[in-house]
Formats: sequence, structure tokens, C-alpha cells
Amino acid sequence: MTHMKKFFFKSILLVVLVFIVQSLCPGEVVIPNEITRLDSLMQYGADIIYFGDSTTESFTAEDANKASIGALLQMLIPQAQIAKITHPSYQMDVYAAYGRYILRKGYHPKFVIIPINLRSFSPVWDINPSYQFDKEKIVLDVKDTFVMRYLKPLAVFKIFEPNCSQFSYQYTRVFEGKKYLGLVKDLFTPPSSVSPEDVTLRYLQLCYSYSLNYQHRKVRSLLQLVRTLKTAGIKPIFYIAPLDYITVEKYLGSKFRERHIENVQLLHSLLAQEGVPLLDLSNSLDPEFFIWSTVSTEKGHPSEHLFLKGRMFVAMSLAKKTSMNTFFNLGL
Amino acid sequence: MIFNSLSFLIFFPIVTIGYFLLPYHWRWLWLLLSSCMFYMALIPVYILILFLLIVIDYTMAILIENASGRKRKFYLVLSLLATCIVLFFFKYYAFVNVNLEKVAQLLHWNYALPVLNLILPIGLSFHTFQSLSYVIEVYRGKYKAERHFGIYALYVMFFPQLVAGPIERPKNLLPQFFEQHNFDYDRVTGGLKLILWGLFQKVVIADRLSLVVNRIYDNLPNYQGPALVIATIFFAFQIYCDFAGYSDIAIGSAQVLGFRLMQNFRRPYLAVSISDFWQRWHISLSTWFRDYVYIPLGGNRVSKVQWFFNILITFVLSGLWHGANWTFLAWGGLHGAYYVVSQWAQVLRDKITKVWGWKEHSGIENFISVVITFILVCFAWVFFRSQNIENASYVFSHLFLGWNKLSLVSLGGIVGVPQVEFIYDICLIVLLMGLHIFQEKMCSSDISKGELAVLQSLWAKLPGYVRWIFYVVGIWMVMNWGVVADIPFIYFQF
Repeated sequence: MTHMKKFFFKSILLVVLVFIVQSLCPGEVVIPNEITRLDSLMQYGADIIYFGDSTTESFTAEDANKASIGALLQMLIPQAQIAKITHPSYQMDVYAAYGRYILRKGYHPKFVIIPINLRSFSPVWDINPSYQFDKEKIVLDVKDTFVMRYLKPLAVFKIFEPNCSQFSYQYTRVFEGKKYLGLVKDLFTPPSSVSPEDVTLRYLQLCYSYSLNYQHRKVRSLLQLVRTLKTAGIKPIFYIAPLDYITVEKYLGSKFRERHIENVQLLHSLLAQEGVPLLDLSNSLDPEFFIWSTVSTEKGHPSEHLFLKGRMFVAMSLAKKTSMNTFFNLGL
Repeated sequence: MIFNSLSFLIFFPIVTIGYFLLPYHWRWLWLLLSSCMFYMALIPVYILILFLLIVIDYTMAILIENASGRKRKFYLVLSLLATCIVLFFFKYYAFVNVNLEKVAQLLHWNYALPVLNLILPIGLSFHTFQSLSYVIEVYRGKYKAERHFGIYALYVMFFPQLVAGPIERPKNLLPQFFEQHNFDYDRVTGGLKLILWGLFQKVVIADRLSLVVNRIYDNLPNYQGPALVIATIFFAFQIYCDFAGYSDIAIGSAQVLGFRLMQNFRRPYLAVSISDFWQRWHISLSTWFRDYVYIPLGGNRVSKVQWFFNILITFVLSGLWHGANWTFLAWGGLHGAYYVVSQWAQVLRDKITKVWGWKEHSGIENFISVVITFILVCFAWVFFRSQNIENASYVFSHLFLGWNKLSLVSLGGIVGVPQVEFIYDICLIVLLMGLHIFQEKMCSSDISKGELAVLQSLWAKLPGYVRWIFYVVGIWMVMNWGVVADIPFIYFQF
């Protein structure tokens, strides 16, 4: 027993010493570029923060002008400074973390523009371990606080690793209503014997078979983001990114349209309850506006990635929505 | 659950405190439940496979013990088949399937075995081998079949060595579950020191070196001679620190709880020959193959040709154990070939030593032997690290190109890291080898005491405050010099 006591007291002493040394000589965690970019742009007094994912970017060599939607919007309203914070697979819970950060740092942009990519509610994004951005979320929550001094040890011991595993992701069951469609792995990476048409069908089933509800993780993040921005006195502008609904409907049939209407309606009513309008661009564009993605894992899949004319359409819609024409007297 | 994670840092103290607070007769259950939790933190459903293997081998061992004559052999074969089928299904099915399909295409045969995208249960090769060793020992009459199902399950599932060994033998580990382990200050702190050293090797050295190795081996066409050589040498130290680090954490964790696991590494890069290397590298596996494959095949008590064949087959199987890929077969085969050639050329080497006038085991002979052995081992690592045989061929065919552009001041640039980081990597390797040379000298000076005892007595001679500085700085280094990236233990995939 005396040995145990001796061990116990020495352990406490060791922990205290390590804690002191760590406080005096903390290791550094590399801050994600997007966060340092936001900080520096806000120091220069950006008027608009425009978050975005791959749907805001150019994805094809066919585009003569590769400007992103953010860059096009900047051209449309040159008087406003736009801070473009984008990452190919950013999504609602990362935006929510950014919202908390903006509130904590006391940044006051006039608008925050947030795209809602409808694919981001599907398992491909929602529970994919590669798309969790735990590092960004944690850093946003603790940056410039005393916790940063202890973040490196926590990071070395995997605090940035996502809770969901590749196994649980790959073996998640996908449903269309009550109809079981298959596992993520079967739909996302079907065997080579499956025909190209069927590969596309499976991928689209995976992306668009979900039915949204208020308990969905990303829907809750959306709500949290709205409330955070409202608390900070910042006007959020949400828009649903256009999707190639004609092609998707061709594969998934009329049930897709029914589900799509229900899902969008849910987002509308959720935001309406908070007094925030939603710009629905999801059904606005015909197939010729879309690139069939050349991203390696999604080769041959229709997606929300847009040609220049599609991106310009979104930029112009946003310019109108933000009432920038009157605000900045641009005469658009 | 992995050792270098927050969850383990929380899990292990809770398990340890619970273990010492519980009455002795409940401790096995506590350890078993903890081991289940440890395993289920990875892929929960796979515990069913483990449970199935445990039930089969537990039952078969009792049947073997109770049976006589042919029946004993029948139950042994049944048990071995069941275990090997599970191993084959998860680990080798895809490999065999792909290769059979290629052969069928060549011969224009119809071939339609389904493709199964199975994820290999973590540590399957380790715990199946541990189970096999138990059944074989019972069959040989060297160990009595364990009647206590919970204790047997714990033997297979004991969490410190469940996922990546050391692969224990029943006679070493099983009796320890019946011993009453009290809290022993020296033993517990000794175990914790080993855990700290293991973590240092993994997160500070192995993970850091892996950044260079992965960059080069994942983009081979962009690199030539010097970069390929550096990456291969770095990989040699990465895989050592990764696996030896894991083993030290496993042995240390078990030691804290009062269990003695077998040593798995003994400074392998100071080996003076390939046979010496295999007495120092992954000792629990190499002795497993020695006891259950090499010796049953006849060992060296057969004709020379048969002996060489036995060596080759043992090494090829050892390669195959590592993974279902031609690269692992080539790696094992190459080590087998080294071994055979070294035995065959023994006379020649003795002559060279004599002609050059070296004394046996003199410093210079040892040094040259160590260097040559290290180079041979590194050549073999090329196969081990490459994704496929084509990549390994690329490394070998480009090994001697691009040396004219070599500049010592820009070595970091050659491998794509800042020079300071490159120098830091080199310093870590030098530190490790310096420690190994020191340990080797200390341990060889007093063989009678045993390695750990020698090192512990040396450590104890240091003043208390110096030891405390080492502890605090060591912990700080692990926490702050570790790499922030998801770099799994290499041997997890086996």
C-alpha cells in the first residue's frame, strides 16, 4: 500500500511538472490555411465572407475563365471586399465552427454567404471519415485561447482523428425511404463487372436517396450556424447549389423529385423559422451548365460542378440577393 | 484502440487501477472485458471471428488431450484447418483470386469466383498464430489443455499483445493468468518507462521518417538513386521504430499489470549476419516459424539440399504471413536466399578472414559484417515497402542513377523536405544507433544478468534529479515532437 501511495504522489508530481513545462514550452500546431486566410482578410476589413466547397470552383480544362463563383462575385461587386474561404469538401458543420469563431473573434462582415450542397447531407459526405475536418473544427474552437498550449500533445495523440471509421462508413446501410439499396461500399465502389450506367445509378442513389429531418447532423449544424451568426449580428445568405436535376431524375425517376421537394421544403421552413430566406438554385440550370466531374473518385458521375456560365449564373443570383446593387450602388 | 491515442491514455490507467483494486479471482474477467473493449474499439463486429476461433481451438485442445491415436491427429488437423481457413478467407482469398483469374485469362478458361471486398480483421495473423501454437503444444503434450474458458480466451485476447504481438507461447503466458500480481513499484515504473520509450520510437522517430519514405515510395517515378537510397534506409529505421515501439508499449503495458511478455527485438541493425539478424528481429515470429515449421520439416538434421529447402520454405512462408502480395513473398524468399548463401559460403568467409589477417570477431570484422548485413536487409526492405513488384523493380533499376547531381548540402531537397528537417531525421537515427551500440556493449559486458537488469542497474546509478529530467523531457518530446498525422502501426495490416 505504501508503494501505491508513493507511486500515486510521484505520478501527480510528474504530471504537474510536465504540465508546467508544456505551458512554458508549447509545441506548435500548423493552423489550416483557410483559417489564417480568414484572419488576415478580416484584418483588412472584408465585407463579405463567402464559404464554399468544390461546387464554387472550376473543374474543367474546357473553361476559358477558371474564376470561382467567389471571384466572379467579386468582379460583379468590386467595391465590396470578399473573403473567399473555400475547401473542396467543406460542409455545414465546418461552417458552423467558422460561425462560432467569427462570433468569438468579434469579426463583423456585412454578409456571410453559405452554399448548401445537397450531396453534403448524403453518407458520402456526412459520415465519410475523410470529410470530417476535425482539425479545422477544433482549431477554430480553441485558437488564441490557453488550450492552444496543450493542443499539440492532444493532436499527437489523435484528437484530430474522426470518430467515424472507414469500416463503419463503408458498411453503412443506405435506404430510399424504407427500401434498402445496399452498403456504401457497394454503391460507391461497385465491382468492375457492373455496367457504367449502373455505376452512375448507384452513385446517384447514394447521393440523393436520403430524406432530411430536423435531427440530421448537418441540419442541426445549419441551425446552429444561423443562430450564431444572428447572435453576432451578421446577415447570413444561404443558397442551395444548383444540381443537374434533369440527369439525376433520368436515373432515379420521379421519386427523386418528390424527395427533393420535401428536402428543400424542410430547409426552407427551418430557415424561415429563424427569419432567414433561402435562395433555392437547385432546379435552376439545365444539364449543359454542368460538368460531369473529372474528380478521380467520381469519374463519370453527374455532380453540382459548374461550367463558367453556370458559375456566373450563381454569382449574379448572389449579387442580386445580397442587394449589392443598392448597397454598393453598382447599378447591376 | 491504438496505443498512441487519447482513448488508450484514458483506457490503460482505468484498466490498471481496476485490476489492482479488484479481488484476485475477478481479475481475469476484468482483463478479458477490457481486452474485448480494446478490440471492439477498432471494428466491433470482428470480435465474433475472434470468439469463433477461441471456441474452436479451446474445444479442439481438450478433445486432443482426451483422445488417443489417430483421433488426436484428426482433431489437430481440424483445428489447424479451421484457423487457417479463417486466415485464408480474410487475408489470402483476394490475392489467390486475382492471380487465378490472371492464369485463367492466359489459358482462356472461364473463371468466375466472386470478388469479396473484405477488410482484414486487425491482428488476425498474430492471434491466429498464437492460437495455433497453443493447439500444437497441447498435441505435442508439452502443455495441458486449459479448462478455464475465460482464461483461454484471455490468452488469445490479452489486449497488450492482441493486435501486433509479441506472439506468445502458452507455457509463457497462460500460467501467468493464475499468478497473483501485486502492485510492485519497480515493476510498474519499469513498465511505464518502456511505454514511454515505445511511444518515443513510434511517434517521434518512425512517424517522422515515414513522411519522407511515403513521399518517395508513393511517387517513385519522380525520384532516382540518392532519394531512393535515403528512403529505403529511412524505411529500415521507420519499420524498426514502428514495430519495436509497438512491442515496447505492449511489453511495458503487460509489465505494469504484472505480466512478462517475450522480447521481440534485440538491436537488429547491429546484427553481424542474416542469421544473427533473424535472432534479433521479430523474435516471437521467427522462433514461431523455427518451432512449428522449420524443425518439423527436419531443420538442419537432413541432407544439405533438404536443409536449404527447409530454410527457403520457412522464409517464404514467413513472407507470406506478412501479407498477400508478391512483394512479401519476394522479401521472404530473398531473406531465405541470403541465409542459404551465407551458410553455403561460410568456408569462404572464414578463408577471407584468415587471408586478411583479421582476428575472429575483431572490431573491423564486426563493423564490416554489420554494414554488409544492413545493406542486404535494406535491399530486402525495398520489396517489403513497394506496393508491387513493378515498383520494386523501378527502385532497383534506378538505384544507380542521378548520383552526379548529389550535393550534401541539399540532401533534404532531394527527398523533398527542408534541410533542417532532414538533419533532424538523421540525428534521430544517429541517436537510436548510438543507444543501440551503448546497450550492446553494456549487455555483452555482463551477459549473466540479463539485458533488462543490466540497463535498469545502469539507470538506477544516475542521480534522482537527472532521471526526473529525463522523464519530463522524454514525455515533453513525445507530446511535442510527435507527428500529427494518421500513420497507423505498419504491422496492424498483418
